[in-house]
Amino acid sequence: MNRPTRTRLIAAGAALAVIAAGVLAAPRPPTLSTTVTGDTGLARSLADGAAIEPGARDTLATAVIDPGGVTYAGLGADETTEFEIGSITKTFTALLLAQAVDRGEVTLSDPVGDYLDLGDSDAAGVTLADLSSHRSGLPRIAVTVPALTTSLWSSYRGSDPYPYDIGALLEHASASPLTDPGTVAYSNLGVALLGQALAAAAGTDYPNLLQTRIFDALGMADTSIAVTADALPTGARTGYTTAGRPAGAWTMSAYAPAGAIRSTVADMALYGQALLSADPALGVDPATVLDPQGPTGAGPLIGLAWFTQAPEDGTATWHNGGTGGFASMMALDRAANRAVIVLGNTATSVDALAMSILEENK
Amino acid sequence: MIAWIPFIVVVAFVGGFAVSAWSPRFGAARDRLALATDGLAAAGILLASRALVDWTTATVFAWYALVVLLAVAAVGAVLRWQSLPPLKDPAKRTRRAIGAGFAVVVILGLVAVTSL
Repeated sequence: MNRPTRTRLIAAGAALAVIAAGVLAAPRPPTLSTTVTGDTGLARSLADGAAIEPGARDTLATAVIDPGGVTYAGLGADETTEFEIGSITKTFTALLLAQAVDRGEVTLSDPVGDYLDLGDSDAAGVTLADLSSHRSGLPRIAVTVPALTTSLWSSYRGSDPYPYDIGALLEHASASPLTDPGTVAYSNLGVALLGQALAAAAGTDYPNLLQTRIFDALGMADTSIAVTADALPTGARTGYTTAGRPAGAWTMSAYAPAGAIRSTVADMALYGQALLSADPALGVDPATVLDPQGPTGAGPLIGLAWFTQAPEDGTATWHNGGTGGFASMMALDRAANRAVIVLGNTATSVDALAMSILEENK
Repeated sequence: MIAWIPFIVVVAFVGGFAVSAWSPRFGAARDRLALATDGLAAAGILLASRALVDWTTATVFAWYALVVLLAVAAVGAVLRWQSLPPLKDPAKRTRRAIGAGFAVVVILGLVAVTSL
């Protein structure tokens, strides 16, 4: 074979190799599954409401709780499918706080510095109640340059922005200024501190506290928390960003009390039913976490983690969540004894979707 | 607009490699090291774009267009390879080698970070 012929063959081979690799590696953005599970009418509501908020969708699952029981539906997922619930985790941390108060381990007015080594920083004097109700004055996230850089890159990639151990968490809190303490300013940093303080007060770690006092007590067998990527089971489910890019799992290390729980709508329905029925397995009256506390007036109505709609907007008590690849919403209509949970495996919000289902099932 | 920046960067690198491989004069690779570096950068950044560009069902066709462009550029690079010297200016060997090595590390690093 002469040289020009050989060169042309190599060129053709290179082109074919590039095209084959390009086809195999092509991005495959998700689209909302059309595989219906559970109640068909409720699944139709999910499909119809999925477009209320723009962004990628893949699978969705929902549970509607009413006095007659629980109705499930899903698109590409069912009531046993695992999702990251993100910041709904904060309501579990709030429940742990209420339980710890009931057990006499802590009081709501205790400064967090009594349980964690925050030195003489401003954060040391913040009360446990203010950490739970976002009135601490702590920033949403750590404001150190490395933490902000990590957060920026992670928000773009959808990867876990909280790869920090407890030592780093305490450094973040100690270095943070308090801005307008007493007014509501959502703080992941604050709730992470709260969870670690409760674990310290109980003489255990946060995952164990959660497992023994809530998951086991309520029979939430398919709910878990892994605070490191290594602790996640092989093949643990991951989701997509709002733009449809694959996102990493969030385990959040020391920040886990602010958002690292994985659960299913079936288990979340158990949680919702317990809250609506004041199940003794909760260990406390759920009103202690659900009822708005603190000064009314400016700012949202907030209990221990739980938000309550302003009277002109409705009557729901709610908390939502979002990680790099998942979105969640849990809304309770306490007067009607009803609740809705919606979980999705993209970061596109499901807040309006859940609220629309809550409204249409009145 | 910001969401389009990664896409524009990918187009620039893949298009740049096509020019480097096919252009008779302007932008043409001067030697094999430049051609190889341009090819690696184009392929690496296209691969990384899977995680960095907001691909949708409506825009994913652009991926296939870029793959075809990269394939066309690869053909040009193979055909041009024999006619190029390994290094145009051997006196700058050390500087060029360091520059190429740095580029390779950056590109492979980007691919690793976006693939993990």
